[in-house]
Amino acid sequence: MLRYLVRRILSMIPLLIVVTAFTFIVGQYGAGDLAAYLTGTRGDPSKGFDTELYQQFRQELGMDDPIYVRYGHWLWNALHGDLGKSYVMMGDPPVAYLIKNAVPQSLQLCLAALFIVTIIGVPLGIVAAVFSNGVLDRVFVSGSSVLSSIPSFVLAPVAIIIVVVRLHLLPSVGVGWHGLFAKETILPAFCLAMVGLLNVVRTTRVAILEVLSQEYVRAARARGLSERLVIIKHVVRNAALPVVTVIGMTGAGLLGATVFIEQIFNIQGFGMMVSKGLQRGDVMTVTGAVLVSTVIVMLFSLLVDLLYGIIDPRVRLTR
Amino acid sequence: MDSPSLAPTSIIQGNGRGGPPAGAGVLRATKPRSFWDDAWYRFRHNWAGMAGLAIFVLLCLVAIFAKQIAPYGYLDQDWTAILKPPSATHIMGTDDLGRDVFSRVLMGGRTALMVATFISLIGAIVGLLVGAFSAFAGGKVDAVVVWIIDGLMTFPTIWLAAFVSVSTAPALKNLAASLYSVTHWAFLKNEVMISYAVVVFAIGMINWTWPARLVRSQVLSLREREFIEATRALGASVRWITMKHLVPNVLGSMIVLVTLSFGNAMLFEASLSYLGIGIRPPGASWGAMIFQGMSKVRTHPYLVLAPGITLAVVVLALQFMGDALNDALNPKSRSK
Repeated sequence: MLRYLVRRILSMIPLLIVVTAFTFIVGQYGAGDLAAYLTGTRGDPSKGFDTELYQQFRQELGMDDPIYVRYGHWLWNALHGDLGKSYVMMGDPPVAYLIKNAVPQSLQLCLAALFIVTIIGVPLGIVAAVFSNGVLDRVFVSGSSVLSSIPSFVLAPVAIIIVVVRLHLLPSVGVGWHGLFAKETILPAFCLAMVGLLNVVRTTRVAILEVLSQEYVRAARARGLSERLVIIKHVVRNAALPVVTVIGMTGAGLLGATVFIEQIFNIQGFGMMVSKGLQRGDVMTVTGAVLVSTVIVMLFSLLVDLLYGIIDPRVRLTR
Repeated sequence: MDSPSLAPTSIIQGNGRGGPPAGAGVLRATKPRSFWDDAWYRFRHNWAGMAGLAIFVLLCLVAIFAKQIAPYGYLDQDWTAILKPPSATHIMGTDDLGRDVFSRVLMGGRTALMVATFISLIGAIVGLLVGAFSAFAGGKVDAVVVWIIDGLMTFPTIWLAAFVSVSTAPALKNLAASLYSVTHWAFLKNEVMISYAVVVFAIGMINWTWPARLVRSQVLSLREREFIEATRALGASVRWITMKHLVPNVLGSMIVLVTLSFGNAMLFEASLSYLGIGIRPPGASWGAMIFQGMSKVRTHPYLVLAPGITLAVVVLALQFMGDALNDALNPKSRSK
């Protein structure tokens, strides 16, 4: 178990290096000359383009080094918790500080959404499979198709108008994060959850159908077990593995969709940080965010793999 | 989703198109029906798929003839009609610059269709090549390709697309400028055109992973099958096996995947434009329209709803079409 864990974590390292190297290099070349930008915005405008200051900035940012040296520096500093500074934002805040403040909100939001998508999607999928090809099946599958096809930046404002403005069911969201269990969190988490609903419903449905055709289900029925008992005791448990996989994969997708949800609901989270960073061309922030999000997604998939072993003891982790 | 899975194959029923023939009971020679005839039969009987196809065809027609159908120019500003709700003269209302929303939705359809076509084509071609190459090469090459694909899939796709589009935009602009100095083609100076190229490039960068995965796994599993082995034993060349057996077998899944990825590409284009890093302002894009309407959504919801519902309907149509195609082309993989 421990050996497996260590090997899994070690195998993440090369991928992390490639992903961050890619974002770092593309970002550094794509963003244009940061030193020129700094000279333009911070230098004395009466002097025109201050070449001396420009060289000073270049030196300070290490821009005369070859790109792999700069990447090495960045990575070394990142290992020590320093992801560089956001030069675009006021007061050059350190990127690590920005991320530390943003991540908790987004993680909580994603967990809430994941919870919602599970408690809605899995039962819908089970019912759809049990009444396969019936009315309920079609209604549930096409209904979740509809909900997942609406982009979150359309669903969210419509939901706000209907639920908050017209029906007054939930309080207006206002600004900021009100905590995981606040009423204000329900609507954004719900809108975020809809992104992954179709995948969860479908996978559950197919997994249950697969198990329903197995011999041991027939045997259980032949022994006279009630259909409810068969489904709960035998089918659902055996269908759990693919469902857990898809829920794990949905997690990564939800993290991406926070870009829209956080902007609309005014949550100062990770998604908001990334979308603002992208719009301002804030390379250091985005590169740091990519590193952190990749780590989060990888840890999440590790967690899912470990869950396999708990759900299904046949899956041996010592391979 | 529809239950009748098998087309009637009985010879008494005629060719299955006109129901029982006049002289029922008389055996009639029938035309042999190909796999594609069967698939089309199955597809035709799937109402959701047909509805999806109808909407998609409608979108294509509307996009092609957008300029003829649109009652106003999509950039024309009417200062006497600003933020007017939907009415007989402006069926989807007007925006804050007095532009007709309906005409802009039509032009947005053209943008979405154009971008999505390029993205799906690039994705399918690159994916096909990479997947097939990886499967045939095997060994370390295959391992590296799979690793790259897995790596690309670990981080949120929309962030990757956004990041690539932001950081490659200046480079592509420079490239276009230097190309212009050589060729003097006017479109190379067109900012909107360049933003199209950036979006296509950025989304194309990540969209090839799904087809590549599919092709790789299909080729790998097909290679081990008995009928391929038999063909090889009969002395068929690699080319023959590829053209006669691999391509037809992968084609069905590929069509399904391209259909589904078409909808995804539209969604991605809208998402990037919504974030302000996709199609540049003079160009019409549903995503950008939604973003512009967002600030007035409480008072003028139609600014968001008109492009938003259109986008959702089109994406849904492609989703239904893809599902129906899957049921029609891969009857064995049907989810019962």
